[in-house]
Amino acid sequence: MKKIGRSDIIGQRGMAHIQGVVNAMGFMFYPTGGVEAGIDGYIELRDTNTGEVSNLLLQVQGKASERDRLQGDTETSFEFPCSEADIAYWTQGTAPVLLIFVWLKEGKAYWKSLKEWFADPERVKARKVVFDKFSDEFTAEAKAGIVSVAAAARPGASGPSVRIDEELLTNLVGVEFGETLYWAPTRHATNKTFGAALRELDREAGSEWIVRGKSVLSFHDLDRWPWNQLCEAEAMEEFDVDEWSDSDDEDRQRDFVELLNRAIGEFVRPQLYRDRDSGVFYFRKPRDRENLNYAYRSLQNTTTRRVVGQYGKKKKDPNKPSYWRHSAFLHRFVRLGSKWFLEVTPTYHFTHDGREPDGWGGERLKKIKEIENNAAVMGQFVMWRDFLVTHGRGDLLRAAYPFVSFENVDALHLDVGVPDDLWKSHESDPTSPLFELALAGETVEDLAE
Amino acid sequence: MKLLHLKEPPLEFGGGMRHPDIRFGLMDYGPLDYGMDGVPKRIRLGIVGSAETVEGVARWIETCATGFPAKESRQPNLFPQFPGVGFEQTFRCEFVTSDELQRVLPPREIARLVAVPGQREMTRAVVETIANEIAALSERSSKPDVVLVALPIEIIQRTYNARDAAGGEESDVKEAGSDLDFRGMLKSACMRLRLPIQLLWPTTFDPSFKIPRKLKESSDRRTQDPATIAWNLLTAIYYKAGGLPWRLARDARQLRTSYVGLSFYRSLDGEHVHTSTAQMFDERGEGLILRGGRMVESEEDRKPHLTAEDAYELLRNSLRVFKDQHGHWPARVVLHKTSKFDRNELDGFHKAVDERDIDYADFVWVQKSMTRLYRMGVYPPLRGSLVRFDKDQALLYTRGSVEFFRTYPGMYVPRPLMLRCQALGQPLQHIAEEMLALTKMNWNNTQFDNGLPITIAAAKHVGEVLKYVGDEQEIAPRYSFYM
Repeated sequence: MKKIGRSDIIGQRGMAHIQGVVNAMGFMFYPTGGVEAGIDGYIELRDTNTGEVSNLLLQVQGKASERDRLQGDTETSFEFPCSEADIAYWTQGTAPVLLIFVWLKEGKAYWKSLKEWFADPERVKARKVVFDKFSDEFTAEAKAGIVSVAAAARPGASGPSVRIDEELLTNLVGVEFGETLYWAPTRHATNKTFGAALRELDREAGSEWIVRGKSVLSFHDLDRWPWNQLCEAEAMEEFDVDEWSDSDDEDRQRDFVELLNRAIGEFVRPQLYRDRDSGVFYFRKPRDRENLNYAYRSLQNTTTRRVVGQYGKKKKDPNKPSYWRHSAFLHRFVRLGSKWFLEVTPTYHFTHDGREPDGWGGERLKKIKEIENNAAVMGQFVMWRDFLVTHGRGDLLRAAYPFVSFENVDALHLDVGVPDDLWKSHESDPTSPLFELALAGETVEDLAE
Repeated sequence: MKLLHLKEPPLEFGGGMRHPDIRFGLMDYGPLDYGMDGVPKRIRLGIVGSAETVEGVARWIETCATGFPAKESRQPNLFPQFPGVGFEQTFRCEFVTSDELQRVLPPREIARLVAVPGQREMTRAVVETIANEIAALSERSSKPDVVLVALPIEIIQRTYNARDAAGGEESDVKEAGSDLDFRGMLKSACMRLRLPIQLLWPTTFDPSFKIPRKLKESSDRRTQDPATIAWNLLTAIYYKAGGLPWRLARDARQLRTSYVGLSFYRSLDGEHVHTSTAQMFDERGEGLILRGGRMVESEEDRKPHLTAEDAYELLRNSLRVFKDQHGHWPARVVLHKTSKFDRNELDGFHKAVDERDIDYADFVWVQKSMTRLYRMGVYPPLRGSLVRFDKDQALLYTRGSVEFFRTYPGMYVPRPLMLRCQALGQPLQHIAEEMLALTKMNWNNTQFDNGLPITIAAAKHVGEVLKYVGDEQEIAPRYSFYM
């Protein structure tokens, strides 16, 4: 009677698992078959979109086990023992070798690039491979890692694109504005004289108006007090806002942007101040406290961020801080694809006493930009977006701000992405703050202190 | 709003072979013109400097022949080795120098120059001295192909100031200050000698050389590894010696296109704004230079613009240059400009295009943008990310995370380019793909992720030099004299 041993079946099941995962990545798997010294097959990389194959090959050493417990088994890892001859064979060849271990009991597989693992002489001495049950799992998600191993083996090889679906944010916030604009002749020729006359009548009167060629254009109804005192209210005209917002005339667009700029200046009150020189809006320091934390909804949860804080030590008096740092943003109203947006650029404002600008502000801004990465800036943008979207909504005590409001813009989707962790592991200094994901959030404050 | 990703455009190297990366392309296939007639086989390098720098540079040229190892890193595609030069290697030609191609400034002369009081006077004196040395080399019976100017550190310290060294990529029009830009002045002074020059810092041949902190900070001169330095310098020298290292990989079915970049520069007295133009031909990747008219303030946006007549003249001349080179008119014209085309400019450019019956014209207003994308991770968006707002407006990432390098080779968050097409002959995505490809045509940098397309980058460089060239003086037509 002919027989096929149990171990052959286990081996076959292991190979079938590997083949399935490799195919799910969109790559080809060729089992060696027949006589082999330790390599069970090859993975050929292939661009899943174009179908192109570029002769980038990886050798696979497959192992499978039905055992209940593996060597050195813990919650997070297990070990795989290797012979000295195996290690020598794997590491001396030209093509990279992957060890893929299939644990049939759990229906899971794990992988390791052997040349990289055994590049450390200590590990050669230990004669074992330690698998991490999470980061080494061999599923279709391991594709980026596999590509990187193949591409690193041959510098200059570009490997197929890593398809990682990603959501990206734009630094844009949608803008809604009042429906009506009011226009009337006035005897004032400039914003300055009109403004002065207006404040004489009412110190609290809003700034959502502009003077152009002896006429005033405004979000406020000019037929009411105090406006009717300063213009010929009987000659007043009402316009739909879209006669300005949708106009292609450059002068009208410029005027409309100026009106919006005046409106946002009122909108952000009283929490934010505007710096005259740089034009940024920043959180003002509270009178009674040195620091200010702001609570908001980030992408996942509610969190707080320190938005005003004191930093450094004065040389003359080490008990005093040398400066205050205020979270800030630069803004610009832009019309893109016939819609209006507020473009928000996160930045910082520096003061030497919580109020007056700090002479070293430029230097300090440069320094912080050296350690802030995409995640850090994105985190700050999300805070500002939340501020703009929730601020001025109105509540029981206060009416909603009438002339502008802001809303979230949907994230954009892309089917090509960046494997952050993998790339980070290849940086010459992965400990650099530049690659710190934690910088994305509030912890930036702890680092600076 | 729609987001998509453009693949890294391939470049063409020797034997018509393609590669997305410059350095690996040169390593594997050699330069584009390898095997063609008239390609440089033996590039003779002149050197001007102090006894120390001349010797250092001569030694460095020798070392280049055997190459430099890759920087120790796990990013082999970002920092590859420089395998050396020779008939079988990289540029497939020799780079040589010899005593009779070298000019050493005596220590007394250097001391005299450093002692000249006043930044402007000192800069003028250094330019004059060096230009005289180069003139002496140009009169030799066997002339060098390219002259390397290796300034001693004492002179660098006095001639470079923070603004010059930072490079003018950020501002559209350079302000005319009291300080003179040494580089631009020297290039303009040497233009009549018809010898391209290449400036070198002592760090090139001696990595341990300490550049004073003040200069280093302002100049973006983070110390590069020797292999990267060799790649960048030898590529620039190869191009200046008349070689063509690579070109855009093109489909034969594509229209014969002339790419024109427009930039502006303020005259030395600060009173006028002039146009400078760099023109690229598709199949040769060669840059030709034109000087455009003086700009006037436009009624539309109160900013400097060309008059309709000057715009017409400029494009008409540019088309004529194309015809002279090819024997026929281009089928398509692409204009890149860093400010809006106003009514008069559009009229003038359209008139020149219509006169030659050119059916396809794309006038693209290109600006660095503050509108950005944020990824949900530490690395910024990928280079090649494209957000379309409209049929004629899009945001393109030319700097950002690069899949081939497996990192973001930059600091902070990159600024993308806002593209606005004011005349559209091709689909917007095609315009963006072309723009991305043109960022790889910078012969000064072999790391391919440049921020600006060469049309605009070259036009800016040209302006920095033309500023010092008098109105009546003839200008050199090749980009080699400006880069």
